[in-house]
Amino acid sequence: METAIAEPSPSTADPAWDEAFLRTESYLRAYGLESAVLLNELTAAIIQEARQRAQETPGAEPVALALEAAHARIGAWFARSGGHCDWANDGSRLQGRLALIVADLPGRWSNAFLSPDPLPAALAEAMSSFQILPSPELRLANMAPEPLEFALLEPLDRRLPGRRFWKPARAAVTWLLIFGFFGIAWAKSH
Amino acid sequence: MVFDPSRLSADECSRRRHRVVTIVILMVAPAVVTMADLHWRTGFDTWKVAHLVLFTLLLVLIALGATQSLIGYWLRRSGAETCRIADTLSAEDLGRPVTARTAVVMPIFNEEVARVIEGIRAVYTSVQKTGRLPECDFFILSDSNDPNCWIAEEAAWLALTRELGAHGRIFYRKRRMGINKKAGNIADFCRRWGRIYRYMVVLDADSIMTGDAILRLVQLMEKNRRVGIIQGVPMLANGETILARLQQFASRLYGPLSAAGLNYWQLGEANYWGHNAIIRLAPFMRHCSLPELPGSGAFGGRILSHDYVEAALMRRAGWEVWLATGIEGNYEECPPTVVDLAERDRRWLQGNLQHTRLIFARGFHPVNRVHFLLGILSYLASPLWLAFLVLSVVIAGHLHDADVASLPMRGFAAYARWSYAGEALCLFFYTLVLLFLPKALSLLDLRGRPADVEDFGGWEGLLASVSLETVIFTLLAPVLMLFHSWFIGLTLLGKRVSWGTQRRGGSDGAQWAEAARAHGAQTVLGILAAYVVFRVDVGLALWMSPILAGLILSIPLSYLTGSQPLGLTMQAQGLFDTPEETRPLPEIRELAERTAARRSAPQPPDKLRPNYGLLQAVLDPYVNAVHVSFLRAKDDPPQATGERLVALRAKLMQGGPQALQPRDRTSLLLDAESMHLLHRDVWASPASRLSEWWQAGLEYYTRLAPPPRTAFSR
Repeated sequence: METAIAEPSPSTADPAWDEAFLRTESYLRAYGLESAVLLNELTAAIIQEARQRAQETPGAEPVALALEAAHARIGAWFARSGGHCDWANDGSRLQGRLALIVADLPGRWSNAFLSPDPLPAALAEAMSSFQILPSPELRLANMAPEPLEFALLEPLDRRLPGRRFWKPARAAVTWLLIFGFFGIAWAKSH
Repeated sequence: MVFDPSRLSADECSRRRHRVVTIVILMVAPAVVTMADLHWRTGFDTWKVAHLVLFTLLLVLIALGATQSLIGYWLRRSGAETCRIADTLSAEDLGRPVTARTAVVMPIFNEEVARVIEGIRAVYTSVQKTGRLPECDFFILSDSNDPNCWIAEEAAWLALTRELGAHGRIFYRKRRMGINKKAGNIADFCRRWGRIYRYMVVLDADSIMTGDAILRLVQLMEKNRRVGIIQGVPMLANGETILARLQQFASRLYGPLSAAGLNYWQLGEANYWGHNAIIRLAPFMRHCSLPELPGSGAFGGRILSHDYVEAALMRRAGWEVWLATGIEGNYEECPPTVVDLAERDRRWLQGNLQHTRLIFARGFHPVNRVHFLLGILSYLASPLWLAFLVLSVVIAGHLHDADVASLPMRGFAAYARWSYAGEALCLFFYTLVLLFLPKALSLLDLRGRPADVEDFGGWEGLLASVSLETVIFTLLAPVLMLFHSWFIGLTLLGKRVSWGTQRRGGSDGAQWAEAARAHGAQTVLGILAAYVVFRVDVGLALWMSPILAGLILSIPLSYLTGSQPLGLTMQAQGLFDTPEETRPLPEIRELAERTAARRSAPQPPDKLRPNYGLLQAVLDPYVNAVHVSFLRAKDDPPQATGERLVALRAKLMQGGPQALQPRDRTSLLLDAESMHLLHRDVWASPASRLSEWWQAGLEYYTRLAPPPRTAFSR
């Protein structure tokens, strides 16, 4: 029997959307989401949404659309979780990310991220009460450099020696006596 | 008995200092006269006069060390020391609640982040455990300009504060410009927050202080209101290479006697060593801001070694500075290899030489001038020793050429019946006695304290360790002598040093290539010197053999002493044991374990590693958020700046970090808007619009491995 060798059918997959899928998955993973099942489900849903957006904005790059859709989903999740973060706003997004990391989302609650289930109360509390305080409130003070004066003959600038002079002088005499002893020993023997 | 520093009379201070000088003179004078006699017997000339002067100078330094140990030994054995700042607290003082606000600050510059963070964790946790310092805050004061360190510090700070629940207790501050190095870093802290706190405990990046030690320092400051600085005596710990363990063994065994002797004469005019100390902030801010030194070059400009000067300024303003002997729980780490040790010495050396001018500055206490002088001499001793050796060879050469052992002048020999060689030998052994006196006294000090002996590994291990330590340091001494002499030469030529980062801890240890590069010239010099000295006088060559051997073997010596596995093997053999190793404090043990765990964590791919900080700051949503939160947003940046940043962003995305100069990368990292936009744009751009480096970075975040390669792969 002759076996018909079929021509390989051209792939219907679009590399640009493959890239968008991978990028979205990586982006979610960067938030600490590690469950393969969750990642896959979420990414598929986001890509689906991005494909719909692509129909409205032809010519837009799939990766950009996918990230847009991902942000929209994160924003919706934040809104649902009661967070005060408008994810559409770039500045607020930063605050949102800080809230997530301060609440230790990647370490303790990664599976709750973008989940349709209600947020665990502890996570919601941690996110809403987060604060980041790198330094205490400023209490500015002045520190003027201390002047230095260099005088080689400084001791001579002082007034005549008093009691403070004679103490070291007495010690110096002792030392001179020691030197003198060795000097005399030397002179007598050489 | 409780000691009251305010009752310490000026006469007592003077008496103690005079005693020290008298003992030094008594030690030095007989040797100098004997050396002079030796030269006399063979006829004085200019060479010999110079030789005698150098001998005297070097012997004074040796005798000072011996005197301090001798006094320290006497004080410890007799219990006669009545002037220790640590003894100023009564039982009532110890029980009193401490309410003074205290900042524990750790200035850092491109340090290993794992060690910094674990160090802060250890100190913070230990302070919390005491429960006695409710008003103690911690500051990581970063001057890091390597993005890999800087970005990692920010993220690690947040992770640490979150883990310890220490928000509002542990702070992180990064300066945009590291003006005036460490002194400027501390001054910046003082200007911003110094008014909030009464005291500042300064730690180095490798310091550890237990909560009890910090508590005790604060209590001492509270009790002694005229004291501006109390310097702790840190012990070395956590060394793993042979050299690091040698240093910590030597400092642990010989340090206490030396510190006791030092405190005997320093009293309220002690020095500040830059870390592991507590400072009263108000007078520090008022009196210790460093001026620039007049002139330029190595001896002018900004003061590099700030600590001695700050102590002198504090004392000049009437505040006392004390060395706190007898307080446990105070540690630092040490350089792991000879090359690292030399690098550190190069930084310290230039800073100390810069103090030459300060010896003559108006108003400083004479003891502070002595500190400056001793600091300078500690490094200047190396070229002086080198000159002494060269002169010894020259004089021996002259004697050899003249074929005389001694001229017919009798000198002391008439009385002592010494032969020339016998007299020289006596002098040699006398010098050795002075050199080894601190070691011998430290061993004697352990008599009757079996528990302490056990902490050092028992008498057998202790004696073996001291012997081996003596041999290794004897061989290393000429190597360091050449390094110091070379550095001093460079400094005098006006070549300033860059204050780089010190490699701390075990890290990678020494490497053959590094050792060969650092010691190649020394080896050649050692071989040449050996040839010359053998030609001049075989006897002299034998006397100088430890020095010559040290130089000739400097490469293997440097490599082997920097070896971590060998260091750990010696530890297993019970060599160079210290109480910190045999009976480690929980703080030290946990620090070592946690740091090791962090060091063994998986590293990013090699390709990404050089710019991993930038990669994280752009790609990682959390690191990016933390980083941007530290940056000041500019309301209305100049148009030219904005255009430059747009161009840099485009270049970074298309060409990767290699396409930018380091300063351009820093500009982007310092711009909040750029970091924000880069995070958004890199993630949202198709690979075709990104450089290969970014593609590799994005791949690092995927969970998919590359497709398997088989014969069917296309």
